[in-house]
Amino acid sequence: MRISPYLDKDCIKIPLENEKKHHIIQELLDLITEKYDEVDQEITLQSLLEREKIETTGIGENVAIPHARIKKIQKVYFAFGIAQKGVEFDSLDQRPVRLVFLILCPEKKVNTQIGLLARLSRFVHDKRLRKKLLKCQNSQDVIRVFTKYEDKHFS
Amino acid sequence: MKLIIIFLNKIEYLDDLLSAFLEIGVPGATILDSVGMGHIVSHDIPIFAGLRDFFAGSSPTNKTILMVTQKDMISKIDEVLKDVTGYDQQTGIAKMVSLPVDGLFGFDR
Repeated sequence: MRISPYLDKDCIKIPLENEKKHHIIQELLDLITEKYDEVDQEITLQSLLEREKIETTGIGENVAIPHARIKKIQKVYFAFGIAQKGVEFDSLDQRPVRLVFLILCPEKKVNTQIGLLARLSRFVHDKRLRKKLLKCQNSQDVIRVFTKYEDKHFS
Repeated sequence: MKLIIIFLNKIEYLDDLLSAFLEIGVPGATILDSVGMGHIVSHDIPIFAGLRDFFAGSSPTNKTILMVTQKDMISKIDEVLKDVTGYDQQTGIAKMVSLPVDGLFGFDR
């Protein structure tokens, strides 16, 4: 499963404006809801925050992947942002987060969600990829970095 | 000869199952403590914690039973497993596979 086809240039923000976990989740969600009417802001935010309560999505190494399965959406939505300063995200390694991926999946597409989370969490363990992402200046850079990485490692 | 692997999720059946195996002449087996992958994924890898409901059927503890046996014992073992656990009536109780064995070393002849 490739990540790059899910990247949407309008749902990538560099740098993120907020500096708090919940605000950053909201900020990334806004990118999606501003473009796609089927994503309900309130319900989705609630689901994302509920998921954070189970266990943090700050997986360490300056990366967080907030995510949720949502009943009334028909496709996968993906947003990405880079925080200029590290953000406190209750991360497993206590380190501040800079790279934030937000994933929304239709409720019944559990296997898609598992595949995306598994692939993405493996990706971001690669220090070289994280370094390249941190250097990105805009959404085109992000899409290019991901596409190139996937072409090289998962073609 | 065959290697039979039984994945027993409902471990409360273990004692009865082993007694029943002895009754039909199974001379021995190796029993391993095991854990379903879904349980480990959703409880030990935090990014998958949100999928605990999806993996709810994955056992926190199960038993893996290994035994080498004559081919003609397979149907008897299957019958015993059905009789004791009802695994053919309901999913999630147990699974069984049999594999061909192409060498035996260290076994009593």
